[in-house]
Amino acid sequence: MNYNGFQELAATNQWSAIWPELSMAGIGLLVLCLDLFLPSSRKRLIPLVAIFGQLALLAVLVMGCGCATESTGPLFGGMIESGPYTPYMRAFFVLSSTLVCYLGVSYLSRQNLPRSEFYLLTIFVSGAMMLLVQSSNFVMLFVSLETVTIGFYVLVSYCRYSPFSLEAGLKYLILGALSSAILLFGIVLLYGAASNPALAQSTTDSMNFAALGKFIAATPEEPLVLVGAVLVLCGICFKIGAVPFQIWVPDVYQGAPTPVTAFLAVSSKAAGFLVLMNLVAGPFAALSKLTVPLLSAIAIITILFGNITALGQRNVKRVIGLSGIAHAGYLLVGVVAMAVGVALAPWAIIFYLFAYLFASFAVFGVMVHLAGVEDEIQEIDHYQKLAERQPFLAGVLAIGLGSLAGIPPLAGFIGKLLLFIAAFQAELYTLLGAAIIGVVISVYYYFGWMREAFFIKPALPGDEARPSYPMPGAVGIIHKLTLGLLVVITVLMGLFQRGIFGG
Amino acid sequence: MELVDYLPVMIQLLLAAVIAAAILIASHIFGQRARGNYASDSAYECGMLEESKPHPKFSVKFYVVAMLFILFDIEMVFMIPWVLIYRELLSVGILSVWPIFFFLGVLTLGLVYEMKKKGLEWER
Amino acid sequence: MFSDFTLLLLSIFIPLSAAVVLFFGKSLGNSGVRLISAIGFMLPAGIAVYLWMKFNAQENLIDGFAYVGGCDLGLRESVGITLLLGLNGISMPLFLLAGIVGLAAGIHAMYSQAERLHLYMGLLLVMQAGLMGVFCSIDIFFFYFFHELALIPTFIMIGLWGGEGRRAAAMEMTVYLTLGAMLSLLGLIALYGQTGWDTATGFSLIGLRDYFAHHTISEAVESNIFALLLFGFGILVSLFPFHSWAPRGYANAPTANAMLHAGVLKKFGLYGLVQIAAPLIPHGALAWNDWIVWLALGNILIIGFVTIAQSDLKLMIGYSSVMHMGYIFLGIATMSVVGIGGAVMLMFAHGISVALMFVLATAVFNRTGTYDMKAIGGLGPKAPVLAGFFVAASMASIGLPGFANFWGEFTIFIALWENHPWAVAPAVFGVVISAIYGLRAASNIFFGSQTKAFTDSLGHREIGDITLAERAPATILLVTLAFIGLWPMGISQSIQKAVEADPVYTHAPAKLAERDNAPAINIADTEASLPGGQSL
Repeated sequence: MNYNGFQELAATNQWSAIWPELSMAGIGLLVLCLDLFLPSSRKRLIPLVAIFGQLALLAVLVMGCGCATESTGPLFGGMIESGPYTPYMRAFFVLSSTLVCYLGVSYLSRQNLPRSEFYLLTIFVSGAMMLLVQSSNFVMLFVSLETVTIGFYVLVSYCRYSPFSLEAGLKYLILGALSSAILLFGIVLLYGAASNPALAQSTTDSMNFAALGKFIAATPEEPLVLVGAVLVLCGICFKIGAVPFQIWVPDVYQGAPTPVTAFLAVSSKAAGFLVLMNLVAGPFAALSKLTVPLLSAIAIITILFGNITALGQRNVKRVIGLSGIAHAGYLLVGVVAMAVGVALAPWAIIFYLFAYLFASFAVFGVMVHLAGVEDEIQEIDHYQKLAERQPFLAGVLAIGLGSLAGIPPLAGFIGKLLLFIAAFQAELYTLLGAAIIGVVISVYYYFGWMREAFFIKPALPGDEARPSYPMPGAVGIIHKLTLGLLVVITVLMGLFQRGIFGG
Repeated sequence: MELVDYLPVMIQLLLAAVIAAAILIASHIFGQRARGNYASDSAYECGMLEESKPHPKFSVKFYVVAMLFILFDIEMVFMIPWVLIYRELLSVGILSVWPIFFFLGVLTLGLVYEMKKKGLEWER
Repeated sequence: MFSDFTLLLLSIFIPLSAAVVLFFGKSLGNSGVRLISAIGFMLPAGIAVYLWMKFNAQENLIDGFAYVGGCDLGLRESVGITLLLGLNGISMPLFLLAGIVGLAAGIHAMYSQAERLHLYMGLLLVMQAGLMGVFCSIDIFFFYFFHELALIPTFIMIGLWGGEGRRAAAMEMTVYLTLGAMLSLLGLIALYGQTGWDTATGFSLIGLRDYFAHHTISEAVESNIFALLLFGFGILVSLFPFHSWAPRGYANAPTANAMLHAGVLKKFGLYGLVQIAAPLIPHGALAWNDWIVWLALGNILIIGFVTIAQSDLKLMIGYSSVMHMGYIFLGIATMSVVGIGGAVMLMFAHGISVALMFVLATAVFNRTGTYDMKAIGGLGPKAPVLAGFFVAASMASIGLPGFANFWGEFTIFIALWENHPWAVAPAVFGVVISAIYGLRAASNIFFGSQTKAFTDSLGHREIGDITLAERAPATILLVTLAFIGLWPMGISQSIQKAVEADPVYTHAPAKLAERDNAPAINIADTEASLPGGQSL
């Protein structure tokens, strides 16, 4: 065996290139150590460390975003390759993780659950996502994906006294394992096909995206390749909740603790999309004859399914979950445009993801504040007269939902606009039609939710029989600041895109 | 591969079928005759009445310990390949001992965590 | 002091900042709220009047646009979106309209009895900012953007301060208008797409005009894009089968909001057709010409009869506003200089007169507590000034000479005679319809007798005449109507200049005539021989 090869590989081990991921792991370990060695009177420090540690990292990352990032090429023997989107997505995941931890503080204080493990898992999972979106090798991809997924198994069923949370955890576990198996099977088929020396451009390094891409470009008609690619895409579609792999979404979103729902809705979905983008533009680039119709069909069904099923929901967590399916559909339109080869598409997706992040966390912030101890029972009725009781929260809710619905001048509108332009450039008129129908339907339920908060409902007979809903107290100053910041960013991103937008 | 090469598989399949059929037939011929009763007619019959509920409550402690054991056991597996090529890596000048120390460090932290969280205490 | 472009920017940002102040101004007290909103409404109106007065003297026009300026907010390099403002002869009158109606609605709202006045005024100011922005945007993306900005407060205001059926009305309106907005957005993106996604041209109307003037696009594509724009804008303007949101929405909207929406915001779609769709893709406009005419006749006749059947005053005004859209669509369908000019004129006039009608209807309601015209009666002697205003407003809305509406409708009929002569008769019949319901409303309310139940419901309450707070906006609007009615040149000159400068409008009628196999009419001759032609 030639060990000199290891030397070459070892030369590409640039630990400094993945310092943000290492810092995330460091913060996580620090939280663990603090949990172990701090006296219990000082344990209040732990969330502060988790949040401010990540905020510091975020600050450094954001400052670094402006600097030119030269592509470092494949690192760690082709395991990792940072692309043009990497700096944005790092900031994205750290930001999202910080906000999840922040929401976790008020959630956990209400639930009497172990604290530090929540932050720990969130941080580790986010670090794994940061690696996931940079992985350029199926082994790396699978390992980091599993790190993410296993973390989520625990987080989803974190509220272990709640049957809803446990049920959600079980469903997520079984379907997650199934999707991992499908993904793995697809990877294996691709690996097998690409290692077949009888085929052109076969390679010994057939897990590597670059080598695999070359092989697929040489033999795009090979049935094993096609089946493998479809299976891999299906596996990823599970993660982003696209139809027909969306079956877990409503139950899991409802049962999971609200901050975890936010984490699932934002980070997990974003990671799935980045992986999809890497695959579609990387190894599967030559398969656009397969990926474009397949993903188009999925996108259309996803948009329609998500929006139509969200119409009838009364539980706001399910509304968010099902509307999240619809958002996955819009984003898939962007992915299809990218597969066709539109240069604007990836940036449109990233902008959309950021807009989605700010709007979603604004809404989730309101939800966490309004939820009672029974976190999974959050009905739309709970929002009645919110504008009178808590005008600030009602305003935040309106702007968050407005951005999700895609109403100017909010960030979500610019996101949709960019996606539409990208789809136009790719001449995906059917998809555009579906997206338009979806947007119109979505306005109905988003506004229905807002209407509940703002409009005074005439009293109906039988109203007295309705169970009472929790009446939370006033909003704390920190919560006000955080939500205010999210809202302001949502508005500003709708008005000024200079500097944020890298395209 | 020629079809002939699959002959052993074919033989095994046949053998399995023959043995299964033989057992069924033999038990039909030589077995005891008995009236069917509630137990023997139930879905998972083995001829006996059940003694307790099929999902008994059991102490979770054993599972915790067993799970932790498996975790560490598997983590040890990661070290075996490293051990096998450690000398060769050293010969080409790659110092692979620090990463492994880091790995062990994290592992130890996990152990400390377990102990602090009283995962290893039997009497609780 | 300020460059004219800065003035345009200010006309958008003053109301917007006033709105932001008011949103957080719970503790301002009513007089403070009134002061800030007065600033927020008066300055844009002042700017609009100032720019209008010096508009005809402008030189250095860029493709017909004066006061042009722009700034990049960050999307220029990727998708060619720039905040580009300026006014041309078509948008100037509408910009003026937005300023004047805004001022009137603002004054009316300031002295209304709305709860949470600061929120009410704030939302109205956001709407005003959007309206000013719509008509001074050269960038067609921002044109859309400002429209949406102005639209959002409508939903909220209907929901919070609306009438009985507000929940359903607000939802219906939201869903309908989102559909319309989305379709038109697609159409606008498609226009930009025709340039091959050239970010230098981008969404700028000037750039697009230049591009479309020098490139030919296949007729099928033009027709598809025009269909998107026609039906997208059509839904927003309540074109015939897509109108059902409008009357219900207006009936339930608070007055100031209805004034701004029916009066100004709804002109967005028509303005888009006149300024953007027809000039850029004339073949598409020709292909859909018959559709426009037929649907517009649907607006005039079918909705006209529906209007006659209304007994609720506010619903009647809502339906009559939908009906009058038909005339403007007919004007657009002629595609001729005269017709388009008449359409823009009528947009201006209708905007003012419908706002006036809403003010007066609310004044009636404030006195009687009901909108039911059958119940109300005999108000004339008790409120003679109100009666005078109302009759004058009805006359204007019918289109009698002396008011701006007359010039608009009249020139549209003339233009229609040139290339759709068969449509003139039903269109003129529409005037009879509007005379029937307009005069009947006036006579019912002010001169007829009241039902006994109504008299009882009034009790001993004394019915007074129109108050100053109602009179001020009504006067502003009525004076404007009469002023333009007596001196149409005031806005028609700029309109004519802008419309004539567009080669599409000078050539399209000939093509229409050719297509219909009608005897070709020499446009130049007829134009010179028509009395309306000169005034335009």
